[in-house]
Amino acid sequence: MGKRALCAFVSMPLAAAVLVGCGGGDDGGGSGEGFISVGIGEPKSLLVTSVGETEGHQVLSALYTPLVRYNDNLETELEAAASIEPSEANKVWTIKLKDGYTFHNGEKVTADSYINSWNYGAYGPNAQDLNSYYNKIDGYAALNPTDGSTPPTDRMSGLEKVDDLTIKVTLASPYAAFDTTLGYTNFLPLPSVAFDDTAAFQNSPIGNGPFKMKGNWEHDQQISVEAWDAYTGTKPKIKGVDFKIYQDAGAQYNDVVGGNLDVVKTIPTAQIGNAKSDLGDRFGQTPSGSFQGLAFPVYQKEFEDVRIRQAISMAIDRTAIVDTIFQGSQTPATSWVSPQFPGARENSCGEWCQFNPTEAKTLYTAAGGKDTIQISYNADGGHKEWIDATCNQLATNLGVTCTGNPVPKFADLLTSLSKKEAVGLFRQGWIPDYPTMDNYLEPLYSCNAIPQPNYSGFCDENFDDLLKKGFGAETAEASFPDFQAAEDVLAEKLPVLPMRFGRNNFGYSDKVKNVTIDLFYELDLLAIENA
Amino acid sequence: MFRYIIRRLLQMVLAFFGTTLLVYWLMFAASGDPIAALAGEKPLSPSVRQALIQEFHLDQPFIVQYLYYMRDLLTFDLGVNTSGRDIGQIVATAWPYTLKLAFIAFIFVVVVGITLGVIVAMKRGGVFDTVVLLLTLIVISIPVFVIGSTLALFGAKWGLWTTNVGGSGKLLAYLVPALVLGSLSLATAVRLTRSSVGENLRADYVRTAKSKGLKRSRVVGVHVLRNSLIPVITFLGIELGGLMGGAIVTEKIFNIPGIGFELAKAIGLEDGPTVVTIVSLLVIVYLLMNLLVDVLYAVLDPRIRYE
Repeated sequence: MGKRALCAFVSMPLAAAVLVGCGGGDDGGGSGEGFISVGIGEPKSLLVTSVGETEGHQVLSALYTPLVRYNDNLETELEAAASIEPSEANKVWTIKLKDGYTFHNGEKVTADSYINSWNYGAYGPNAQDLNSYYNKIDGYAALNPTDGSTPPTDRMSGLEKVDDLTIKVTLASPYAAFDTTLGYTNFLPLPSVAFDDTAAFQNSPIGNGPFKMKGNWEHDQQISVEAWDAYTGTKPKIKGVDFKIYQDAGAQYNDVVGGNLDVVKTIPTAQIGNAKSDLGDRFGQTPSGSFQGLAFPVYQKEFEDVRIRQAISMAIDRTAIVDTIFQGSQTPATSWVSPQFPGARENSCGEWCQFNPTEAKTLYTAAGGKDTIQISYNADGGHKEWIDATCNQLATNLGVTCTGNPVPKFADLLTSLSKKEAVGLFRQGWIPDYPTMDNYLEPLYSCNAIPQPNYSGFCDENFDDLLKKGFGAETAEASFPDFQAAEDVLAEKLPVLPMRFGRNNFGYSDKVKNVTIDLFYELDLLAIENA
Repeated sequence: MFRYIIRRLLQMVLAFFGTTLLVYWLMFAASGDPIAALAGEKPLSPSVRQALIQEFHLDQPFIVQYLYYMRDLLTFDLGVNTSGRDIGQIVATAWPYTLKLAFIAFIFVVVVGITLGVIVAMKRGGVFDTVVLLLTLIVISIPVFVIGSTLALFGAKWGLWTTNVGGSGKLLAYLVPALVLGSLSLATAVRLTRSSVGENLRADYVRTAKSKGLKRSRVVGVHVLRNSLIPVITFLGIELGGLMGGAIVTEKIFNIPGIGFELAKAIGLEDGPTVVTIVSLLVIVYLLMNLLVDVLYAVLDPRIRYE
């Protein structure tokens, strides 16, 4: 190859790039008039029984209508269900479905659509992410043998079809707030076509909701849904949604500022400071249920004395951390259950979560606390700054040496915990799935949730009894005192220190209005409008 | 030449197996618990755990897992990743993005880099030379994510260019990210060309050519440039291999769902099969690039012969 040939070889693609590149303007890739675009991350799955994360959940909220929904006060309201009645002391629940709901493909939504979906999710060998969410239903254990054997049946004995529109659910033990849990993803229905080929189905899921799929799930690019004309429930005010898939929240934010994207659900902390000037009143904040705490592993004897835990808690200035590290994008937590939840109280932690360095120091010295403290955290979640800040406060206020101990992933932290290694305090996060107090209390602090997700290993008979009493209460309201009493046990024993509750920090373009994000990080697609 | 290429290709097969084994072993040794990593902070129930362990043979010893993987690979079944997506499909959708980005960046590096390099070498010591050297020094010393984020911010604030390349689908959109991605290589290419050309300008055969009365363009184009390109080609060949491997930072900033992004995601999820597949493909790309560079040596310099 001579010099000239080489030159041509190099410049040809360049010319092509310039020619192609020069044609046409930039329309932002929108689907059309009346559609809005929402930034999300790539969902892990779109099969209702396997969507345990918020990105997929947001898409499903467009495609499916749940049995119940939560109003602004987080009270449970019927949606696809006509009635949900408990009997036999909340052990047996009869769900009557509203007539007239069909799937996008025309198939009628019946009791079987729900029962088959739930059985599929609960069947262990199907390895669905939400498998454990069915564990309150009678017969769940038979579908999930722990010895690795094949289950003898693939249907839960607690599910019974009374007629086409009535389901009778028998629980393993009474649960007064079972109707509230029915709003979560795992209790959505599936059409019969879903079970033929689940892998193909989730590329273009068929639901019973206000929107239907427009084309297939374009992996790593976008998921497009359009308003479904034949929908019988409350219809959305927009024509459709393009869920644009992003790698990074920073890129989403840039696109909203540049007008190429309508909604960014999370503005990165680094951008919060300039979000108000960039977006003005199109920057919004709403409370989120996400909980961040610092846990004490029960096996570490240096934390055994409760006074040490109290002293560490009082030595942390939560407000300062929220203001400086998070620029007000989160709220200091002084309770274990989000105060937004029905029945929950503010400041259930009492004096122990109030910043009081002098009292902390006295208490710590009196209890004979060690002069070194370690806080372990996973390095992949952006926790370094606040852990270091917490450590600095402990060092200053307790006169100890405090070090942050980053491990690559949360899974590595769990490995250390299971080997009972001296990790020191460790960070723990939780996002509730439905608005019941026990959704914070049971998974994180009850004895039978050890080792996961009760990572600290806290086990208290009194606490478990109170939870059990609460589950057995006559109504959800009647269970509040028991759950509150259970939370008071946490205030007394301090197995985990509340640090922060999250906030949804979102932004939107001038093409949309009525943008709200609820406690569970779900953007309300029925409320949002074109501006 | 032909025999040489065949021999190199055979060596590539060995290199390929060696690297996949190594990468597979590294992934195996580095992974704590892929299923826990997949589940995040919400645990899976024991029965689901067991089903996943069986599906991905995680209870088997390392060599058995590797043989399972190789059996699938050799039958062109790239398998599914830990969240059930077809790995072949992931690679097939991601690679075109990376290729577009890499080629535009590469062309930019070749054309601008070599041209600038030759010009500054000819005007060595002049003002232009000093300015270019200073600029390349600045580019080399700024991390790529700073350049990328700054350009993305400018693009967003004043609507100059799109910052969502993956969603726009237009080739023009790749221009800015390609500039960002190529900037470092460009600076290196300029400096490399400059020194190489400068050296050759002082060579005996160039003096001879000049005193023969040859046209200046011919002296520079044939006698100087062709001889100066060998180190540059070596550098560019390796760079192209690197560019095709995707650029984790640039792809993230400009939202390009390419190979670099998929690789980063798979590493985070301890998704062994995906990581090994992508890395193996990258190994093949590197090997081919190296072969291409070696063949180009012979084209550029007749003194080099392969037996």
